[in-house]
Amino acid sequence: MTDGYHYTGCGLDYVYLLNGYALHETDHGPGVSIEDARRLHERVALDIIGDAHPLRGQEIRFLRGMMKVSQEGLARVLRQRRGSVARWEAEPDKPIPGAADSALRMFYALKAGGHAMAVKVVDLLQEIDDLEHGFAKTRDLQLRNDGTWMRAAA
Amino acid sequence: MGVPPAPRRPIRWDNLRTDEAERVIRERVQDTRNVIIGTHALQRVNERFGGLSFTTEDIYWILETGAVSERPTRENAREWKVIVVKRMPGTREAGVVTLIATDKDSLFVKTVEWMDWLS
Repeated sequence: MTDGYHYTGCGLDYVYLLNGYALHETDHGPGVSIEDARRLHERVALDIIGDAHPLRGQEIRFLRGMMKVSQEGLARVLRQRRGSVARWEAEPDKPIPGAADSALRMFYALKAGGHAMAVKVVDLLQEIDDLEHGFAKTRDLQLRNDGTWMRAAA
Repeated sequence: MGVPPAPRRPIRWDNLRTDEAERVIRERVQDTRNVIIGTHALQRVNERFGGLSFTTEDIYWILETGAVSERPTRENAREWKVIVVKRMPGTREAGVVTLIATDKDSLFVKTVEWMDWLS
């Protein structure tokens, strides 16, 4: 199926939207808007992990983006080195090793299903990421005009 | 009986503040039909890095959870320009250059870059 909008912006080179999108001509050039994109992405992620084809670099990047974890974080989940995850993502069409493929599918399925342990692991990975990169050492706070304190750009 | 929502100050479109811009963006991105992503934006990222650095999922996430980094500037009579900044998982901050329409509920994503490229 190659009709419709070729949605390369999601990071996958084979997704076509048959509807649910609008193309716009603006003063700043052409653009596209997607209807209910978050749920669309969740649907695509579930299709990926349920598909029989081996996971490749582009699927790794997509699933990692959905989980909001760093390459380091994903490497921890899969018991790999960060460099391995970076290398996989740099080769979008190359299948990743079978053990990592299986582990990622299983972990993503648990996370998507709201499994408490998988959710906790992702939360912890995000916390570790913050700690490792120094954002937990200082907090930039600003008093807004509406009287509330907010953390500045994180 | 629920607690009535706190009164909210109307947006002052003639002099948009940073917190107002952030509020408008976070509200509008809840319905992704409001977010027009310039095709130029992702193409440029692809060209520069020889591979995909950002995805549309990243862009929605940055708009939803990031912070407006500086005071909004006028792009033209109908739009304000801001940069929404968010540290991505890993080490670097990303910035989404966003135009906020004042006459409709849309956002236009002009580009998305690593902040160390923008500065």
